[in-house]
Amino acid sequence: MEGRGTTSSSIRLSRVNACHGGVCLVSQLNDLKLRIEEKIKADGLDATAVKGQIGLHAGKLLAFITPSTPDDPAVVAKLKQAAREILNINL
Amino acid sequence: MKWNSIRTKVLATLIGCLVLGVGGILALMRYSFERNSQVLAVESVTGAQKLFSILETREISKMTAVSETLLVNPQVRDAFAAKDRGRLLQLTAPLYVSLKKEGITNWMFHTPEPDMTVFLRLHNPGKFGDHLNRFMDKEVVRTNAMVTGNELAKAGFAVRILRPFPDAQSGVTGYIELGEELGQFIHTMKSQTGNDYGLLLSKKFVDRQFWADSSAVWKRRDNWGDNPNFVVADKTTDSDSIIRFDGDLSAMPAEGKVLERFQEGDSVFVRGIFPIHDAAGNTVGGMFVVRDISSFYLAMWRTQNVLVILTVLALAMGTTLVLTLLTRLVFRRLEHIITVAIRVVGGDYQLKIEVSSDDEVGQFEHLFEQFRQVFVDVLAHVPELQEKHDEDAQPAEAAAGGRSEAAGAS
Repeated sequence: MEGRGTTSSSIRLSRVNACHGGVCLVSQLNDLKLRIEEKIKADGLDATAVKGQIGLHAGKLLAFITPSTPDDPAVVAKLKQAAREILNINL
Repeated sequence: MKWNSIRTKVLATLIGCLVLGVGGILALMRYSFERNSQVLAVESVTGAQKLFSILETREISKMTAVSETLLVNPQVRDAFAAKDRGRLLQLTAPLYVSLKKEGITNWMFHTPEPDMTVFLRLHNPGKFGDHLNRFMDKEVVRTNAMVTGNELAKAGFAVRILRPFPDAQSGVTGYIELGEELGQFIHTMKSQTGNDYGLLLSKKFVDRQFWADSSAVWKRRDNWGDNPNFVVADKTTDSDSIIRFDGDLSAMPAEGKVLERFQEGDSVFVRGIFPIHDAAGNTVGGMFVVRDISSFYLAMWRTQNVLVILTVLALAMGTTLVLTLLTRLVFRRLEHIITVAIRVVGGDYQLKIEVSSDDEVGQFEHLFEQFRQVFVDVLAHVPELQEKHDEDAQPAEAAAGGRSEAAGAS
């Protein structure tokens, strides 16, 4: 799953949430997750360990985040903060 | 280094123990040195006082024996009875040379009362006929027996014996006096103990002219002006540091007192003083004693260094041992649990915690492994993770299937 050669185009595609009745929504949480995975891959980090740390910091398992995961502002903020602290990136 | 980690706290505690231990040793050694140097100083003063007393007694005994011999010498007796000064000097002068070598520096014959003048001074034959009018002179007349004690005279401060000199008919024809300068005692004391001594006399009891005369007799520098209250009769060292004294001699306790510990160059000394009384019981002076305690100080300093080094080494070894044990028994295993926890949350559900012991941390490892298994089991039933769980399970099942097929084929 993570770090298994996800391409930029596939990431872009997967950022689009499921479409309901012709309206496609973008899941912010899923977008954050994908950008974190991109950063981990770009830096050549141990994906399992880093995602574990971010998950613990944010209080949310990244594996639980899918395109259909509804956005929760509190979780989004925690995830951004965790990414900033562990990966030193501003999402 | 994390300041709130157990490792840092343990290290800080052990360093604190080290500082306290070294500080305690230094304080204890300082206290011990203070106590022991005080004891040494007291012992030096007491010992010097005893030695002085022994020397005094021994010299009085020696002078008594000499006077006994002179008393029964008919030639000396007759010459003195005849008041033949020339004859008396001729008879006694050779003996005086010998006695002087043995420490008897003063030798006088006195005429009987009522005038009681100096008839002959062996140590200064040209000076005679003067009245001394000292306590001992009055006492020997009063008691008509030998009087001993320390007494100032023109020849200086000396321990003396003064006794009646009988003629052939046992009548008192005069008095004979022998004396030894107390100043020379201190040189004997120094040769016996190695300590330095200084003899101080209170100016209240010394006549200025008296002192100038005795300085001339003994060919020594007239040091009357050196000190406003005291005059130094003699000392065994060139240093003036041993005779610093601003106190009141009359207020000094009979057993003497320790004045100070001081340092000169690389050497450490203790200094004390005890009173010197004259025959009338007046405190006419004091004797300083200075003891070099450098060897003791050096020994204490070395012991202190050895103790400090041993303490530092022992605590450093203890610190290393404790930290190594903590690392092996606690920290490394906790770090392993943390790593596993992070990786499991990160998606590595197959990573297990190895329970390495059944100690306290081992019990926690066991509990955490059980928790991990429950957690992974819960995750397996979460719809979002079904796909991943199945992916993780596939390699294991494929391996198991491969093994079955291989078994069936065989």
